[in-house]
Amino acid sequence: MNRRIYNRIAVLRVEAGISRKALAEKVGVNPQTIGFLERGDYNPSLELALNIAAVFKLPVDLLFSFEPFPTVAETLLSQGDR
Amino acid sequence: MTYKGDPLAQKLDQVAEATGFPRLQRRMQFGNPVRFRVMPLVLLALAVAGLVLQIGRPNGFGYLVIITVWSATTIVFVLGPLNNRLGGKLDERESAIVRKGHFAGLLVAFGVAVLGTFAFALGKIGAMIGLWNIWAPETGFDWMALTFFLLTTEANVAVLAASKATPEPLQGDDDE
Repeated sequence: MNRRIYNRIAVLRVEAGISRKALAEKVGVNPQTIGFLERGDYNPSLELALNIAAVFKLPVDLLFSFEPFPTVAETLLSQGDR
Repeated sequence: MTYKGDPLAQKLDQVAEATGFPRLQRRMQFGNPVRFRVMPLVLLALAVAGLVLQIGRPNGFGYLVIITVWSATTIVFVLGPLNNRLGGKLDERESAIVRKGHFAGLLVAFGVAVLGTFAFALGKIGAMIGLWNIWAPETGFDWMALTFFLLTTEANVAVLAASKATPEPLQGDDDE
């Protein structure tokens, strides 16, 4: 059972102005692990997922999903339709 | 990254840098791990060749080959993904890679040891009833060759498995 888990870490990290290194220090992992997470090369443990969600003060299901997240462009377009 | 200041110390530092060892040391400490694909397979093949030599000519030459291969294996191990570069605590991803690598390595080494001892037992039985005579370790060199052969097998299979489990690092993974 190795389903790909999609995440929004890269977008949220850039929005918050946090470097990979800073985020890695906050959640107690190697900066490379953050890079692998953002690229979808590594699925985090529940503990790590909850720690990352806590940094961005968001529920974990807004950060991680089995389905790909819409891009920023798609989100903006869907808002424009309303 | 050479020292600047006292001219003599600066020259000595340049000579040290020219040897390549400081660069290698920095890479071993802080660089991304090397994902080995071919080198562990080559070392495993050489270790098998060393063991065959030791079986064919029990004069210690095969043992020397295996010890040399073991020395090369330690370098591969240090440069590979199983080395704890910063000496600190491994995170969950790194720990999983180390576990995965050593599990594969120990499994293969265990399999080789079980099959080997089974072959030695069969050899003894065959020799007793006069059917066949399979080589079995007798001298100290034989036993040491076997020991380092198993260590080499474990380490190289572990490096191979860990390398396979390590994604290719991209530029900027360690950015500020």
